[in-house]
Amino acid sequence: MSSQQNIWGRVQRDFWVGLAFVVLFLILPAFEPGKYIVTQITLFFIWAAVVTQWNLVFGVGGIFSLGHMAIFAVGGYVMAMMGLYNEWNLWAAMIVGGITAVIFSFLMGVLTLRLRGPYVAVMTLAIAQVMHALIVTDVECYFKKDMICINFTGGAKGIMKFGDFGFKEWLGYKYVVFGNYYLALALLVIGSIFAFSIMYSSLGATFRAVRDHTICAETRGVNRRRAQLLLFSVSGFFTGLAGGVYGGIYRTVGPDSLTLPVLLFLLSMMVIGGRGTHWGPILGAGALMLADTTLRGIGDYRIAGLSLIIILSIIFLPRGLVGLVYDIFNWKPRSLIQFQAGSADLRKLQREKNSKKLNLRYIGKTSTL
Amino acid sequence: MDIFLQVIFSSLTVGSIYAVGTIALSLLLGTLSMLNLAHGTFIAAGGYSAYWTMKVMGAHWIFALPISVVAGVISGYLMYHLVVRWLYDRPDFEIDIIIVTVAIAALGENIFLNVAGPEARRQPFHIDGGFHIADAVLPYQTILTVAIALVLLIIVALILGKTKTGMVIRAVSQQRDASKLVGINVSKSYGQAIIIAGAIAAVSGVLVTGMAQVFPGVGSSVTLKALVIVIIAGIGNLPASVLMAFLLGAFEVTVQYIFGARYGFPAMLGLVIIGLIWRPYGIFGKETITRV
Amino acid sequence: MDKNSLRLVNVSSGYDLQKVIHGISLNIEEGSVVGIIGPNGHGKSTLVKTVSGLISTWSGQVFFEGLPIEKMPAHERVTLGVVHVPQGDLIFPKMTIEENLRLGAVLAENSEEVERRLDKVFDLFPVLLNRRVQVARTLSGGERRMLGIGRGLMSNGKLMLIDEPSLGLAPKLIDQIYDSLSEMKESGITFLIVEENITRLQNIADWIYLMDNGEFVWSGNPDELQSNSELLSTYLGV
Repeated sequence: MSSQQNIWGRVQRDFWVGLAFVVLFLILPAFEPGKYIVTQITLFFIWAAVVTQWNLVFGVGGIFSLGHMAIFAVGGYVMAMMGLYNEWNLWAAMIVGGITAVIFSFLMGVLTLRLRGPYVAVMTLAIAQVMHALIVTDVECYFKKDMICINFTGGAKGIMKFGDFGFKEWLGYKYVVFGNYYLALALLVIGSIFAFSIMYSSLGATFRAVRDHTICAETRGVNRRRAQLLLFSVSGFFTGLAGGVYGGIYRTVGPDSLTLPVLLFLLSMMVIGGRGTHWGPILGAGALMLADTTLRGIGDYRIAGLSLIIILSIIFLPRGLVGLVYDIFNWKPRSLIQFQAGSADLRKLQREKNSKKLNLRYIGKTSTL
Repeated sequence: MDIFLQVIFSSLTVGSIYAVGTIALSLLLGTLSMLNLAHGTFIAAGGYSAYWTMKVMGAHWIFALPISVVAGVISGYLMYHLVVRWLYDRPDFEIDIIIVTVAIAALGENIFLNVAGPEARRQPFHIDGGFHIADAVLPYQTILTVAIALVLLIIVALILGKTKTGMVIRAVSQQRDASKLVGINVSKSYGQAIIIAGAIAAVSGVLVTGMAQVFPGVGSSVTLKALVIVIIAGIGNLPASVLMAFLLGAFEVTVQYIFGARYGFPAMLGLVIIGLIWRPYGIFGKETITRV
Repeated sequence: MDKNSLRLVNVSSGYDLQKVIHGISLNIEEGSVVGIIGPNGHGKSTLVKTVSGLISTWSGQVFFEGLPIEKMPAHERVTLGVVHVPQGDLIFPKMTIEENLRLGAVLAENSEEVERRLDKVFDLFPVLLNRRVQVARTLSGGERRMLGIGRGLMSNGKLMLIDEPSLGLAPKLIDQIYDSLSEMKESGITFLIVEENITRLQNIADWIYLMDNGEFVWSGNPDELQSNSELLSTYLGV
């Protein structure tokens, strides 16, 4: 009873925080922050959307996938190819990209989720690496367009000229950047609503049970793998969509998203935000985009910096920034922490019953040999 | 006939690189359940230190391997002392260590990049030439690598089986709480195992770079393949890892000869995935039962 | 100065956020045998783990021979002479009986000393001698229990913490175990025994504590317990 009230309280809190967030970013462009800031925030929205799904899968679902960017890439590449080869409208192509990403995630899940947690990490990483290698070594000419050799996957250069979202025609050249901004924001909002729904649903509770007590949960009839596969596949839609949005905004889809620097960047967002938490991905993405934007000059040491952030977070801030904020607002010395409401009452009751019966309270009586 | 022979020799060459690269990885995975994605850092440390010893310091080749052992020990110690010893007792250790070692691997590569530069260099600890049989060549370096792989295997077996340190590490890997209750310092054992792994990986790094050249990212490409091989071989089974290294190396080379270089690893990965669907604990592995 | 082998002052501990033991205090004199009884799941094992260091003390103090050990890691407490034979034995499954026993003495530096202790253990438990090269996980329940206690002996403890020595064993085996415990007692080892089987404990213990809901609700000598039938029925369903 009280735990349900608790959850409703948290849903309400999250709702208001989310609303404030959305309103803030909806009206932000009105303050004319400048094109650079707007594009950086757009990028923040996209990465936050990706990490939100990755965190859902990794931190909540317990699927330790390091190949998340492969799903992102599939979404982007399918959209670009439909746009380039089949000349589809990019919006439709983007949806197709998302759906393909679902199928791809499903396949990836089927192939790797039978393994114990940590080994999933290696296999998914390998899949992403293979994808990268195959694309980058694609040097055969698929066809020639105006004397220029075009590889099927675009090769190392990537795919370009596959159309765009039409913001130029619709809003005018000057406002394309805002079209991108609101599209990315919409992506983040929709993806987050999905993620939060899962976390608050019984599916989310199931995952928490599986994550914390796998063997117990499984003996009670929870089919871990099926639940994980479902989650992995559906969240693939939003990740693939993000890949499409990214490709459409930057008008090029390439293999860079599959490289280690990007993996490290997003991994540090997830880790420092707080794995498995609700607001972790957005906090982490924000923190790292902020750092990345302000610390422009240290290019050479960017990787070292990200690595250190990850290492130090895991050691000293295991629950990330979200955990830090929570601890600050809920400081409670350990000795004051009581039992969960239900069991404490029961035990107290037992104690009273017993002591009344025997009239004995011998705490502290020691041996007098 | 010649192509057949050449494929066999190339398989041996590639297989030997993978074989020598899996030993330290399998050791840590088997004894400490530690998936070390920073394995490549040890490999690079070994390769670079051998290069530095012979090329920069001009020393005789006999010093290369001992110095690489020192480099491996130092790297291993740093990894334990700075990172692992905070994490080993946590319930999330297995996944924490993966994330952390991804970061360490990137950091290590970045350090080598900044200190030594991005150029690929030839590993001076290297034997040129080989046996010419028909029109195929079996490089001496390959034979050296296979030999050292076997020597390293034997060394690990001896350390684990015959030394007190090894016995303690085995105890920790079987029953951690019981180890504490007989007075074993579990944290120290982790450190010892990682240092041993570092030393072995560094030596293997000298040989790996002998074939692949010395550059900052040399560790990462071998590491991923070695990881995949260790998983399909079965956790903690060192001889099986070496065997699978040769088998999968042969498969990769064959695919490359037939279909082209770029299809080698994808095909190998595909085969491994199929193998894992059939046997999720690895071909020679066994299901471990965790206490409820 | 301090005749006490073990002294707990207001010790509390638990798991994660769950407090299990509330303000436990006790004294154990050197050479005596103290038992802890009580319904299951109420903290007996937790208390023992707190003393041995497998669980950290949340508050209060633990003194061993006058030395405060509550902040010491478990493996260090072993060097002082605190030896815990855990519930479930926790043997090294893939090692032989002999290897298991030798690991008990892993801290010993004198190899002759180790051989001496090994002989003593085989004296006490001839079954282990017969099966010395058998792999531990193939042993029966009783043999495991003997191995656990034997390994504890190999650590040459001054204070032996034994958690449920008769759990899951046939009566004849329990006899054997308790006979060996009596023998060990004669050599001056201090014991803290957690038990469900009160009868055996009564024969060997000098003092008994009754634990309920993580607190001591009664303590006295075994005869008092025997005559207090109300206590027996309420807490122990006897």
